[in-house]
Amino acid sequence: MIKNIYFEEKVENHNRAQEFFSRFPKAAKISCNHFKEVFNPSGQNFRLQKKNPSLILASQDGKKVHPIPSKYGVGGTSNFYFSHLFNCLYDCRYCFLQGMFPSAHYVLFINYEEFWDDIRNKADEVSNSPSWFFSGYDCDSLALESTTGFVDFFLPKFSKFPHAFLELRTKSVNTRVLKNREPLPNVIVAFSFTPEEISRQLEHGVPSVSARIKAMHQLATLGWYVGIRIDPVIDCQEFESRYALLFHQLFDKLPQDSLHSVSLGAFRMPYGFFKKMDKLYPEENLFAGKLTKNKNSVSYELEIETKRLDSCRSMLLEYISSEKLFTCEMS
Amino acid sequence: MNFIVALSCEAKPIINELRLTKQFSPTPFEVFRNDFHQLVVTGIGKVAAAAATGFLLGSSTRKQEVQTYLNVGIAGHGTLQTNTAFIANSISDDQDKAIFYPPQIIDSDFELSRLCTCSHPNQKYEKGLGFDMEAHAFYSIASRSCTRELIQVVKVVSDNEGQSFEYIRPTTVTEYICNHLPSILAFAQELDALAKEISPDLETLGLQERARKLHPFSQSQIFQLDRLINHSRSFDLEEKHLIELIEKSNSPKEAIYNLNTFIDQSRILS
Ligand code: SF4
Repeated sequence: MIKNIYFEEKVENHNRAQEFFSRFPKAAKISCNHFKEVFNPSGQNFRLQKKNPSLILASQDGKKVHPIPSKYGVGGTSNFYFSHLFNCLYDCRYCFLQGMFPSAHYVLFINYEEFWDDIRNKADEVSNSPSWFFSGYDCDSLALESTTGFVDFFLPKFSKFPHAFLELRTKSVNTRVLKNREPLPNVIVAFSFTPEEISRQLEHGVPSVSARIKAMHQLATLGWYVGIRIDPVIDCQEFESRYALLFHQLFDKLPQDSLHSVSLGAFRMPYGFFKKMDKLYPEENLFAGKLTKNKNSVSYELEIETKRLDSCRSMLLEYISSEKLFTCEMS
Repeated sequence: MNFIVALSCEAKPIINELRLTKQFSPTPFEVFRNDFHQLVVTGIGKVAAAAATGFLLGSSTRKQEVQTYLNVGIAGHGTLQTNTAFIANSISDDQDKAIFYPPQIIDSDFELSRLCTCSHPNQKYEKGLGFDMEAHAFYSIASRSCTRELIQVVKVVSDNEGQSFEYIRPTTVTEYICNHLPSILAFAQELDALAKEISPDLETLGLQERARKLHPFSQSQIFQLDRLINHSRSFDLEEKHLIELIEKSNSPKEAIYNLNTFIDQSRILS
């Protein structure tokens, strides 16, 4: 339940802002000049705010579509991301958002139409090859859909733009918005997973692995392309058997032709983010693991990282062809 | 909890309920304490509020724990009835551009309202806005050393369009605060519970303290030692073993090495 809605003065009369105000009539409405006045001040505690984040309605005025590092992607050559929302309903302990953002408030940029203009322009610029747009970089693409209506707005747009691909990355089982419409060949619903035991320890508030698998299978059966994201790969006891079981559960009964791609990603993040996360959760086992600082980034010791990624890769290749398997590196 | 209150008549119900005792050591402000709380009576106005908050920040006796700060007092309001308590969710100032937005984590029954801190008593009651004379200065100082979620402002409306501030009596002020005292104290207690959640673990601090005394560790070694002890606590390793291991080592360097090797075996998620 949202108790406080901050809004930038310039969006007060925007239809989407008005909808929010009427949907949460009891919430206190507080105006600000710019969302950063509320979101950016130093001396906020992400861990505490995560208990009860407020909503900030804002307009993204600058660049809305950003290029993605070349080693990140699932087959396309022109890859971009956009962030209509900062922060997430869930609370994964490995999530870099808690190291990157000063606040856990949700910032929703409600000028979707302008996001779409920028996406379309970008797609037109590179019209000789399909361009990929990744949402869910600074949030979960579906978890807050019933509040944001983001997917509901964007799907009809992408349906008319077949050379632009959209990846919705999620851990949510809130897939009604997709089930309610015809599948689109240029939209991939990518679910992220860690083994159940890890999920229970680290992915707070996230639906169970089995519920997510079920949601993914349902969408695949309905004809949606799905993606599987094993990202980040987390070192743990009984690593092989846990990941083997996860992969079995994921691919068992999944219609092969609905699987768009599988990607693997190492646990890796900028040192500054890590330091902040470690300070927020000094008791967290994950941060006391065999991690190492290399230049400006923190990751598992190279030997562990290589071994774990190799092991996942060979297990995955028992189920899928190598063309569908990608290793993503953010840095 | 640190209470910052402008007037004695506002402070009285809190002092009585929490059985705070007046501190007689020479201090520039009236300070009242018990084992868990302190309260400062600041006097009216921004300068007094800023100075008293700064004084309280410096005089905390529980330095290892994360502190909480609550400004309690009366305020005028453009919409709310008198004797209504509210939490300030935005705090502006009539002479300063900076606006504070205290993050609201606790679900309380209080109303939420914007608040403007004025240099002089306010006679124009703008709709939806509260008016006081201290909150902004208080927040600006407290937020320099404490996390913002744990600095809050609760005001009880004493005057509005229909009831001018000129007629407010100290007894009425005390009565207003008294009326909301249970909610104010419950709110303070919840803030303290949040603070506890992010305060350093006292047992870990104690263990680090003991370990540091076992060898002449350098500053950077102390940093490593503290971190290793932190990790050992994450993995529930036995305190006795750690201390033995450090004791048996022949030098600070060896102690760090041994500790690291010992903890390394556990560094994996279960
Ligand atoms: S679901 Fe994704 S965005 Fe949300 S907390 Fe977890 S890792 Fe972060």
